[in-house]
Amino acid sequence: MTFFKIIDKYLICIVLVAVALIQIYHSQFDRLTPWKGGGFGMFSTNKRANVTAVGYTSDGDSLIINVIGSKFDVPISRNFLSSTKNFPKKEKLERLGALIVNSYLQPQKLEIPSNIDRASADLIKGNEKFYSTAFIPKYYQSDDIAKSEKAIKIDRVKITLYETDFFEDGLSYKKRYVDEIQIVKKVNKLK
Amino acid sequence: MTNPILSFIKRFNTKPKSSSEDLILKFTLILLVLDGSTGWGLDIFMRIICVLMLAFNKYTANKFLWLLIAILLLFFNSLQFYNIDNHKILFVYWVLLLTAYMWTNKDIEYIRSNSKLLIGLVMFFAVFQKIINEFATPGFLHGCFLFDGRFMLITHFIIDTPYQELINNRNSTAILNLLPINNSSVTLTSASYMGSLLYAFQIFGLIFEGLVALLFLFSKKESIVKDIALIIFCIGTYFIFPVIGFSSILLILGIAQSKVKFRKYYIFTFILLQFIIVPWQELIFYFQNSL
Repeated sequence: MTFFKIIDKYLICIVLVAVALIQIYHSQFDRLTPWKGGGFGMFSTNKRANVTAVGYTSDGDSLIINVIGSKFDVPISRNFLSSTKNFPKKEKLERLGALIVNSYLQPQKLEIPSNIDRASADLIKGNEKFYSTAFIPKYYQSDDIAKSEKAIKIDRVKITLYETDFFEDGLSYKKRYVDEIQIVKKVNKLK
Repeated sequence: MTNPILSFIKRFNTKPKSSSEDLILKFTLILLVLDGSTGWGLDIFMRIICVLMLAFNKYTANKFLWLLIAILLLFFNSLQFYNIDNHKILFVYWVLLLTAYMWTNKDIEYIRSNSKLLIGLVMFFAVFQKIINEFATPGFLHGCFLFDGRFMLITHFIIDTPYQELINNRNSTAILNLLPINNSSVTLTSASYMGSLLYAFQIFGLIFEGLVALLFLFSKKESIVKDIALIIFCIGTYFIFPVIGFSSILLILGIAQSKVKFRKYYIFTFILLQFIIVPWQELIFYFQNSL
C-alpha cells in the first residue's frame, strides 16, 4: 500500500495518534493532566494540579483565598477554572490572579482537619489568625453590600501551583510545590 | 424561507448502501442525542438535527447534515478542548470518519477497518498512559475510592468504615487543597485489605485492557475473541466507573467493525449499559440505612 493510500484509508486514525502524541508530550514535559486533551489517559493517575492563592491587603495583612468557580456570584467561571487546573499555563494563572485581585473577598471560617501532618499542624498553630479564615472571591452589586458582609479587597495576590497525589504508603494525600506567580492590581490613573 | 433551505438539504439525501450502514448511522445519532452534547451550542443545534434525522428516515444518511454535525462537534468541542472528556473527542473522530465515508463514496469496509483500529488505538493509549504514569504501583484505585465522591459508597460497602469517616477523608483533602504549605499532607482512613484488593483489581484491569488493545490491533477482522473481550471489558469496567458515553462509543465502534451475526450481543450490551446511570450505590445506601 502506498503512502497516500494509507493516508486516504486511515486519516482519522492518524489524526488520533498525532493528537495523542502531542497530549502525551504536554502531560509528560509540561503541565497538562493526562486525564484531558485527547491522549486517553483517564483513570491513569491521582496526580492533580492544585492552585492556591494568598492575597495581600494595603495594610500588609496576608490572607488565604479559596479559589472556586461558580455560575453565579463568583467572578471565576467553572469552565475557566477547570481548564486552568487541567492545563495550568502561566497566562491562565495570570488571568486567574487578575480576576481575584479585582474582586471582593468574603471571609469564611476555615477548620483545619485533625488528620493533617505534624509539621503543618505546628506551622498553623504558630499563625492561627492567618489559617482561621479563607476568603472567597465574590461579586457584589454595591460597595455597601460588600462592607455589610465584611468583604475586603486586596492589592496583590500570589498564586502558587502545587501537585497533589495519593500515596499508598501511609495512606497520605500530599501536596508538592511546583511554581508561583504574583499579580499586582493595576491602579486606575483616571480616578 | 424554509422551502429553499429544505430543498437545498434534500439535494444531499442518499440511501444507505446496506442495512449495516443504516444501523451504524442510527446508533451514532442515538449516541449523539443521548450523550453527544458538551454545552448549549450542541444542545440546541446538534441534538435537534440528530432527532430529526432519526425521525425522518430519508435524512438519516444526508451528506450535508452529517457534515454539519461534524463541523458543529469540531467547533464546540475545540472551544473546550481541555475541559471535555476523551470520549467526547472520540465522538468527533467517529463522526468525521462517517462524514468522510459518505462524501468520498467509500465502501463499508472503510468503516469496519477504521473502527477496529480506533478501538485498538484508544485502548493502547489508555494502557500506555497508565504505564508511564506509574499506574502499576499500588495506590491509584485506593486513592480514587477514598476521596472521589463517585466511588466512596463502594468503599463504605467493602470496608464497612462509617460513612462519616469517608466524608472526613474528602473534606480534609479539600481543606488541604486551600493551604499554601509545601509538603503538607493528610492521612486518610481506610482498611489495609482495601489497598491490596484494589491493587489486584488495578493490575487485572491493566492487563485486560492491554489484551483488548492487542486483540483489536493485531487480530483478524473476523475474530470474535476480540469482540467477546471488549464486551467483557465494557460490562466489567463501566458498572463500577460509570462513564456511559465511553462505553456507548466503544460499543458502537464494536457494532461497526464486527460480523453481522455478532452485532446482537453488542446491541444487547449497549442497552444493558444504559442502566449504569441508575444510582445503585445511593439506592443500596438508602435501603441499608432506612431499614
